[in-house]
Amino acid sequence: MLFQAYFHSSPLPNPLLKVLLIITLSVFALTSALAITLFVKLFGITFLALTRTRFAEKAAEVPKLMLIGGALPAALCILSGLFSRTLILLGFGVEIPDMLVLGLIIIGTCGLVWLAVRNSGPSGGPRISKETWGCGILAQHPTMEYTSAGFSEPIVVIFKKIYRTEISSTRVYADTKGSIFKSGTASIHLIKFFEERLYLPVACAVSLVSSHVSKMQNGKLDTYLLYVFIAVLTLMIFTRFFA
Amino acid sequence: MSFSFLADPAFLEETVRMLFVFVLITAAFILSSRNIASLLTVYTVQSLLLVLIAVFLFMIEGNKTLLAIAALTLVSKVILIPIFINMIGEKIKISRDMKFNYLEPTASLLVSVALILLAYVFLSGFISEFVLGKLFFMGAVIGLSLTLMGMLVLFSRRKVITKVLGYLTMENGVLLFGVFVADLPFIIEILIIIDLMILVLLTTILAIGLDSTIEEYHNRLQRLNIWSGGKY
Amino acid sequence: MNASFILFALLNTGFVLLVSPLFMSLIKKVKAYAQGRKGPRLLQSYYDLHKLMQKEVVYSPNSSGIMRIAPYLNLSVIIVATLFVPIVFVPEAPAGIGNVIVFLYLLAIERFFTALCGLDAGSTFGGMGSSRLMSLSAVIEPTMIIAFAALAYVLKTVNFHEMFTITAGSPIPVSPTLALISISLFIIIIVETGRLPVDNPATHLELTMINEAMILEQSGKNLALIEFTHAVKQIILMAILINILIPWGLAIRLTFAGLVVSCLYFLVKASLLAVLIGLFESSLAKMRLFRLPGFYMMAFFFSALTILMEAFT
Repeated sequence: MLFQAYFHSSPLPNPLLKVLLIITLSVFALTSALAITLFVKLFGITFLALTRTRFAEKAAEVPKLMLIGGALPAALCILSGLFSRTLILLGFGVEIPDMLVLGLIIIGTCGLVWLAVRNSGPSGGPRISKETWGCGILAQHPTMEYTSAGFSEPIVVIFKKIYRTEISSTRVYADTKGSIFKSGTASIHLIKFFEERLYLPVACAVSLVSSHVSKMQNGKLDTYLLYVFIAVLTLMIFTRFFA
Repeated sequence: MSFSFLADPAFLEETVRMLFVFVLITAAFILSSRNIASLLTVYTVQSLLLVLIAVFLFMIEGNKTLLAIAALTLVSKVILIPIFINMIGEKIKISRDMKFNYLEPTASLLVSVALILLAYVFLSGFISEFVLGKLFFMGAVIGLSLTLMGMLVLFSRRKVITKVLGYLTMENGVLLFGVFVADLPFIIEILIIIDLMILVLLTTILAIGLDSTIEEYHNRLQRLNIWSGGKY
Repeated sequence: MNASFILFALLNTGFVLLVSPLFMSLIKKVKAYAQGRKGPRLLQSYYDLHKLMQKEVVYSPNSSGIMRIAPYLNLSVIIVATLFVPIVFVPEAPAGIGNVIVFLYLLAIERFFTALCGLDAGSTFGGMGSSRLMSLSAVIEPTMIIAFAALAYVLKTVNFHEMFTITAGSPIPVSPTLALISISLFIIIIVETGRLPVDNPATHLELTMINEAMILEQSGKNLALIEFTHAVKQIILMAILINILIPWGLAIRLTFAGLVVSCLYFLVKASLLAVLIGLFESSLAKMRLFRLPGFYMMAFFFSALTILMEAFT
């Protein structure tokens, strides 16, 4: 519906408002595309293909009653999307496309396609091969798959001016000349924008000012007596020469 | 299909608007392109678009000075100045301008969009668009944006020849602004052309030096590295 | 939903399914001629699809149900997307079929499932293809939205059926801004169908694969369905460009002669566009992967200027 509102904004009279809407529309589209990328990464890395860590190998499904807690909001999302036209028409008079009809058409077409190609190909059903083709490497190993950091690496590189990523790595070598690698760590660190650009400079400025002020109010009795002495002298000079 | 819609003023206005978009696109290419030969071609195309805009404006308005401006721009900026720069470029073989100061091409395109908006906001404070007409106001905004984008080229590119093209873009922007906002008398137009010539000539003199033999000029050029933008 | 819409659905989908492999071969032939060779014959794509249908389907033991249902789901989503783009005649659009935003998200669903298939078998190529595709399509998304928003601004509607009625109904061009939008649409065709300079559809080297990497694990009739999906996606994107820029010949009312005329006109216009795409591809080399956002940014600048021009007047 947000997109519909953006697209219908052409009759607006104020050109600057339209420009602002266009800018926010493009950023919104970028956000939604990045959200789709995130979900591909999430679903793909977590659930598909070989398990990547020891912990994932031992993962077991939770009891069925716990699944209901997650399944219920998911089902509500899907149903409110499919039945969105009836829901909206109950409250507002806005015309939006009918998702239920579309969903039914998609499922129907899927069934038609399946029926159409069901009998083609050699009989006996699909064959399960021994392993995924690995370009000549003999046994498929989980470290050959894409990791989640590797999946999002193009996005990190494309947007590196915004994210200010720091890629840091340490290496420990087994020999003195630095040629036999023993172990190492690598990390990708994105700046926390609000903390590093907004809060920290203000906090540093405040602590700078307060460090100067604290020299003046340091709790020693002599300093306060000095202040009283300076005040008395100033009063004397002021009343004699200026009042 | 009758072609009488081509003389319709609304259609001509829309065509001029389309030409505005192409002019800004050429400025964006000058900002972000790395190949020097294509930079010169893009500048020639930009000047040609200006000639077309002047011709279309003549068809809308009927002011004969516009035709004279179009002819002068055609001769000087589309034919003469590119030939001149080509002659210089043949003696010095530079082909690519790889590095950028302060602004990468992607960021400079975003900054250009902001500059266009800034020009719009700035000009709408001075010139009310109901006095001038929407097309003329748009032309003034585009002229100002072209000048600002030319200034962007001046500081963000390294090689001198690109900076010269950026300055020429700025002149194009001023010309566009003047065509739409002021009654540009012919003499001012000639003055602008003369100062363009002086600029290109000056750069060549600085590069060549007061000697006139080609061999000495080559040696001096190699030593001083003037056309390659300094010590880089 | 009346009878004319059901007739439209059958005719439109049937026509698109019939001619889409032809245009894939046509583009390949144009590229071959540009390289000085003869190239495959024009009906070769049909023979290839038939050959793939006869082969057996092989699944990796690591793949899951995604790999099994994704080809069917992709083809059905793209077939539903063809309902949104009228090619033979323009019917009354019921219930929001024809909405631009839904069309864009149908294409996004297809991309989503193809990317999941790439990760499914656990090969390195698939993951690489998925990651590159999703990153690059995230960067082209603002340009696509702005180009379609510009269309909505100029033609004052968000429905493809109404848009084509407006452009095909007026004897003169509606606005020269449509020429600018069609340049943006051309760039979107190049990006969405994975043609040079974005991605080389003829290569299988890992330096240059984006789209081919994800479908490397498919075989048999699944691969046939995926290739077919690719061809249909190409032709509906071409149809949008054609019907916005040069729509004359598209039948607005349902008559038999009108149908035949618009089919013939479409074949001629699409062949011209296919030749143009082939020549454009032959004149460029594939760009380095991280230079592509610069190219997309230029396209975004262009679309943003178009829509700013519309907004300021």
